[in-house]
Amino acid sequence: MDNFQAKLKIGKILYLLVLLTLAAIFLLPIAMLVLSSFKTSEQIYSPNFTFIPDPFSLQNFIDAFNKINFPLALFNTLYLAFFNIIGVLIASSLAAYAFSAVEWKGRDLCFSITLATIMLPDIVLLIPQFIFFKSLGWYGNMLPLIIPYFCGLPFYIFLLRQFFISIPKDLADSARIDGASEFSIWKDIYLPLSKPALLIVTLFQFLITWNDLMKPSIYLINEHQYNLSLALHQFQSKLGGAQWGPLMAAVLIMLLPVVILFLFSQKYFVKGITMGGLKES
Amino acid sequence: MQRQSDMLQGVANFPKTFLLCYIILSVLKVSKLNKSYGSKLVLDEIDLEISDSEFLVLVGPSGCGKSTLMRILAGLEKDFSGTINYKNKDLTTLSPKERNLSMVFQNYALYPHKSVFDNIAFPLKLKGLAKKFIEERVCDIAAKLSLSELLMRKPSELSGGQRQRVALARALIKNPDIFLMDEPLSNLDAKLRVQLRQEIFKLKSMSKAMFIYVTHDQVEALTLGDRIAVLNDGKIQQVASPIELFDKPANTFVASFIGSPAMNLIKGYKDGVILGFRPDPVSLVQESQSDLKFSGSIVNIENLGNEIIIYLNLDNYICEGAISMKLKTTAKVQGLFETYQQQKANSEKLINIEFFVAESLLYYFSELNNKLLYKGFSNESN
Repeated sequence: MDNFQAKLKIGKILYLLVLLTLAAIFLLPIAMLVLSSFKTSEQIYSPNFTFIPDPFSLQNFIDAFNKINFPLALFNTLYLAFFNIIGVLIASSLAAYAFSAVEWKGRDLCFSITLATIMLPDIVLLIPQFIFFKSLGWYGNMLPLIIPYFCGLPFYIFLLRQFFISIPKDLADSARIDGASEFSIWKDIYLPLSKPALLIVTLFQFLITWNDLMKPSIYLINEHQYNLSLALHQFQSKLGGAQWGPLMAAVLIMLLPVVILFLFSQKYFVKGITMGGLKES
Repeated sequence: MQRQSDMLQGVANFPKTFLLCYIILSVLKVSKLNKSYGSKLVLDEIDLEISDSEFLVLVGPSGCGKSTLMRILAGLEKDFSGTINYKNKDLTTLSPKERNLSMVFQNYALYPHKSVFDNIAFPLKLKGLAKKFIEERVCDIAAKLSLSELLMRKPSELSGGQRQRVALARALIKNPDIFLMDEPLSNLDAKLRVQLRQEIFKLKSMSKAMFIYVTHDQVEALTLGDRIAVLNDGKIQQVASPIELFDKPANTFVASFIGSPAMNLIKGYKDGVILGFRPDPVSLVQESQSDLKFSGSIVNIENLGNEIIIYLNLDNYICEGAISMKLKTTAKVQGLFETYQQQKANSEKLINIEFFVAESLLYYFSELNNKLLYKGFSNESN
């Protein structure tokens, strides 16, 4: 018995060691980022590499703030995030409601087609979408970054449908008898009962919009429209070659809200990833 | 309720002239209703007429189609054939909203995120009525169902009985023409069920609406219903008053479904006839020359205190399962019970007993289609 417990203990220690090593590997670039943002540019480019910044400097942050219009880029990002989130919440939950609470012919086929579009890589749609939006005269406008989300995203539709299926059908039937329209069942019964799922969608979409570089860089022309990630991109391109110090400082500032958000909402992220798999469709 | 069950006890002694005759002033008329799920026919040519302020119970074993019938009446099911008429208005294709009916669900179907007040007020809020009027109505109905103290609570903070009362209140507030109740008491324990049955009686006296009540529990059916429709395999077997149902079951299904223990059915007594008799008017002594004599060996005895149920395997005749007989606990019966227990303990041979059934209490069913041929003496044929 003692022998067995000793083995169990060794197993646990080994397991922990592996996890710690993996965590260290993943954390290293972030640690480099954090430490570099406090180094002077001489230190960054010096052939004698040191981990700890010496001297400890805040100059990079000052430079970063001077080079990009931080408040405006932040406002643009939040502006996009707000409308994207509102868009996906309304459109995806409406579609999910139609796919779960209402019975109609061809429903399951339509749902399968919706699901199939998850497999389509975004990059494939890039050019056709660009041509389409340009023909509408939306090039150089924020609309192509907002309007598509009001059509819902298949992943969220799937996620919410799975959640809606778990709501007893008798509630919808009872509301129908009470005199509710389908719209008011969606609004008064399904949405209030799906707060956890809606929160997951909100978090996911916030992250996606916050990090999005591809679409803003395609559709936005004027600097005053730039979101944070596109503004950061200027460090690399505009001045010819990267200014690593200020870039690291700016990236750190951009990363912080996401890290804080994740710390507080970790369990919802995990739930969101596992939700689709656990409930039968 | 007690009175009604007493009436049922003595139903066999009721002269036929006393049997209630219902003059049906039909208001809700269901004709030729068919519904199938895939290839399975769930409802088969249902015809039903229900009059105003009548309490009709739909009863039958699970899977007989009673809940489906109710959902069709509510407007919650599509893809069926047949018509539903209410006061000469065709309801068949109307949405639930347009039918002015209320429904109480087996699982209460209260909105979990709304308070008791908001749950009860929901139907009126959807009608867009004035806030003050809604408040008055809710408080009024809550008081009638003793829910006044609970109005601010969420359904999760209520007991099962309280939840069902909230569901009743929500159904009542609309002033519906038709109340639909889908096994509303089946999730409650026996004591609460009796209490809530009283609430439903109260509800019935408060409202002039028509009640349609689905249950698989025959006690509920017999105690609540003005009339009872017995369903099996998607077909209506019989629609009648509780007393008539008990006294004159239309076929062997109704005979064995209504009454507990079930009616004994024996084959091979006469050619082409199934003989039936209820377990309680059985006697261990011969009271009249015309009494029929049977004998059999005891399989099991259940002691209910004031009554004893004896199960036996009948000699000479074929029947499904054991024959049951319900006897008042007399000294003789008690003695029988004790002998049986002793013999069982010593695993001796089973006791064989004789018993008698008065001819007037016998039912004769056709072996061909299981329908009732006549009851009692053959010359009194129906």
